[in-house]
Amino acid sequence: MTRKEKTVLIVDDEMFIRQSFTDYFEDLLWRPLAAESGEQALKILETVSPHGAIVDIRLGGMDGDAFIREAIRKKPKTAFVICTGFPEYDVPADLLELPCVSDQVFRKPVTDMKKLEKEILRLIGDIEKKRG
Amino acid sequence: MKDENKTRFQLINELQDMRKRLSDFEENEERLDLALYAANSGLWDWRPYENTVFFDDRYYIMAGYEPNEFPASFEEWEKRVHPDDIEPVRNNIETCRTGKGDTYDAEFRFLRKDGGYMWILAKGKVISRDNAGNIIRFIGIHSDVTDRKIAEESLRESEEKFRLYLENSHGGVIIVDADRKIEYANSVLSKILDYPLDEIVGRQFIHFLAEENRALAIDYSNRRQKGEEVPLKYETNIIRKNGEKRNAELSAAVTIDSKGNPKTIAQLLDITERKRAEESLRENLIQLQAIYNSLPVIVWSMDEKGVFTLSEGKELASIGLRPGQVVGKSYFDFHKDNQQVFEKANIALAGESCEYESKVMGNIYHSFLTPVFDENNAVRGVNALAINITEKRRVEEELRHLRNYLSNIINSMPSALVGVDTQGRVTQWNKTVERMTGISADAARGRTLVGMLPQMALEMEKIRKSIRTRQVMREQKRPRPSEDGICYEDVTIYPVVTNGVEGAVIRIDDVTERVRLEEMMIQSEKMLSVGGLAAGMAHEINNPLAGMMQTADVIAGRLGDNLHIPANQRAAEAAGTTLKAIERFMTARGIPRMLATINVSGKRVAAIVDNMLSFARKSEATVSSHALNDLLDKTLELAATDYDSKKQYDFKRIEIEKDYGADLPTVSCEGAKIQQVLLNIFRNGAQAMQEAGAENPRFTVRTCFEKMRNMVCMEIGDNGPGMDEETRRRVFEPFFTTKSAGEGTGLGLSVSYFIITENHRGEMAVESRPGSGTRFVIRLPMKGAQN
Repeated sequence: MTRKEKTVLIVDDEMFIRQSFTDYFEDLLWRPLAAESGEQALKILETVSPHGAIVDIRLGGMDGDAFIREAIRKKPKTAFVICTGFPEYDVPADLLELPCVSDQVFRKPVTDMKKLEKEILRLIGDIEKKRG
Repeated sequence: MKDENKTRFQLINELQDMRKRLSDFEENEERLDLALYAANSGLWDWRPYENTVFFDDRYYIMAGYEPNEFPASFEEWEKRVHPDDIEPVRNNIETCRTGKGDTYDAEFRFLRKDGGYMWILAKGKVISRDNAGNIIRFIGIHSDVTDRKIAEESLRESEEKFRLYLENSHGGVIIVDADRKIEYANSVLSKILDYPLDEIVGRQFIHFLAEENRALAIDYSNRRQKGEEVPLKYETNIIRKNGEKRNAELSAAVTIDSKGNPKTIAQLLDITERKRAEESLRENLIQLQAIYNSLPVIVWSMDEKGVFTLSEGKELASIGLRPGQVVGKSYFDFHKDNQQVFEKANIALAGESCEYESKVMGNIYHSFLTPVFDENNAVRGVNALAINITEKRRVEEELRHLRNYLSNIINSMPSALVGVDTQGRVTQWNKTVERMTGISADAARGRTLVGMLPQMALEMEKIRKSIRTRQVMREQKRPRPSEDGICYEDVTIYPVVTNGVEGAVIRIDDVTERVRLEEMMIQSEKMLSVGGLAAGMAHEINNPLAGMMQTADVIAGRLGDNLHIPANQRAAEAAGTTLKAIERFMTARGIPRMLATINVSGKRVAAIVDNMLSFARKSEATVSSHALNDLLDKTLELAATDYDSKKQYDFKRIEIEKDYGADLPTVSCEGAKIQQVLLNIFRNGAQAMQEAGAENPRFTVRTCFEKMRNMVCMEIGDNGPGMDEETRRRVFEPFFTTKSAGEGTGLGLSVSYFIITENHRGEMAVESRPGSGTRFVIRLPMKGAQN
């Protein structure tokens, strides 16, 4: 694994969406990991520390918010960007406070994936600055 | 000389005798003289042969003459006898002269000296006749019986009068003696009893009375003659000759005749007819009394001076009077406080019938006064009838109240109420109909409905059917074109059958408002349901959409911008080709174009979904105060810069006419949303005008503040082709669109409608007529949006 390559965890229960994100980030030379549920994603987090995560809210099992809270405890330095098809979703207050969670919610379909990548990179940058 | 031999004794005797005889003679003469004087008589001595007459002094003096003033002769006597009396006197004398009789007894009038006549009773006797029977000497007295004669005459006249009276009396007159034997009866009595007079006179009076009445008559007669008081007049019954019994009235009084005998003089009247009439009258009276004693009336009369002569009737009790109580009192006293009544009474007393109403002791009376005239056409009195109309008045008043009340009810109904009879003539026409048609109730009543409103001809058919079948006929939401657009009415026809009177009542309720409200509600519900669907659908669509679009994006990236990533290099090599070749191939086959199509289509789908989500979104509403004029201007700017290659209009070409209200208050609203609405309207209008090829396309934008309703009003009108009613009605319907397939979603106006009415509790309406452009009117309340 090259240090330059960033890892992104894609959590979405829709296969085509997962696949499209996976393909896209692959083309951008990221290393995409996909999970179809929060539980699965947490499992992955046991062994991997992704730089960022794209999280869908409506998932089978635990929802996206719950996953993020859980994930942050495990891997606090991960950048989380929420992407949902749910029209009335607002980022819950407790998550909004966290600097590693984007306050920008991307609605599905994401018509500008570039913007999404930019946001993740920005967050990661912020986190690294804090680190450093 | 026996005479000489008569001795002196004889001579003295003779002398004594002579003296005695002279004395006697003188005494006798004196006696005679006195007697004659006492008897007021004169003496006459007539010797027809010698034609000498002797009148004594008294004879002359009685007649006012001096003694011997005229020569004593038959002729002198004869010429002083009244011409009317001379004949019988001459006859009397003749009787004596012819020897038929010796006594002379005559009464005649004798001329006095003063030219007047006196009555003389002449009595005489023929003293001596000759052998042939001729009168030698005729002596008599000549008495002044003037007084007696006058008295007799008086008496005779009196008797004559009396007799005439008796005879001509309308009643039968009888005179009976103490034993009740009829001494005299007049002819009237004869007629009454139907007996000839000779069968009456001399008979017992009670013979002519009916059996049962005789005792009383006898009793009265006895008592009357004793001087006791008995009724002067009493009723009895007589029996006529033919046996017929008749009612009679007897008036009797006792009198003394010239001889001192008590007689009873009585008048008998046949009162049978009178009694029948009285009976009839009494029956009538009883009947009349029965009538006015059982009816609530007062019957009264007054004389010409206004004094009550009659006061009867059951109703008297109600004013506290007994029948007859006021008789004798003055009408004017009784009514002294009432001017009107006074006047009316005077009018009647002047000879004119009249009537009036008055209130007495809480009751209302209607009185009729009729004057009564005597035979000279003078007013003799007034008859009157007073009827208690209190109840009638009360009922009338109640009826009037009810009528008014009913009328008020009918008129206050917001429904139009028309009543018709079976001929279709108007019987009821309330205020609402007056307003609707402009025809007043007075003008409408009686005329035929169809005659006034020809468009009701169809209704008449229904009305007839309703009456015939006794069924209520309803028609709901019947459209009626009017100046303000189409009005909707509920028309209900009720058949009316009461007391055999047939007809119908037509009720028309204007339900336009309700219908519009319903439509709005339906719209809202449609919207809401769409919203509900939308929310649910959105998420379902977004996922596969995302899958589609994002994958297409990835392809476009992988084979486009990111073509030269290492992964592609490796794959190309492995496939035995170069990236450049792949690139050339893809371009040649139009792959990038296809991918772009997918992208654009996907975006459109996303846009649709996003729009739909506006319904359900519990927005990120940002409510703030906005000056609507500014909002309009901003939107116009936006519209001007909005140039989409797909659209065929150039907004810059359109003329904008602004008529903004000054001092428009700011409105609390969601600015972005309002702009969305305005933009939508401008876009639609621009497109429509462009499509219609309008020469000088123009928007007229107007704002104003409606103080009454505390709302701000915005109007956007165009001079485009306008819409027909069919279209206009449906513009706010979701998915309704006039644009060709593939253009527009048909959601723009429905969303706008929702934003205005639901989000902002405002009003949105569109007016349009083909060829006259379209105008949107938006009103926003000052109180602001509610979410």
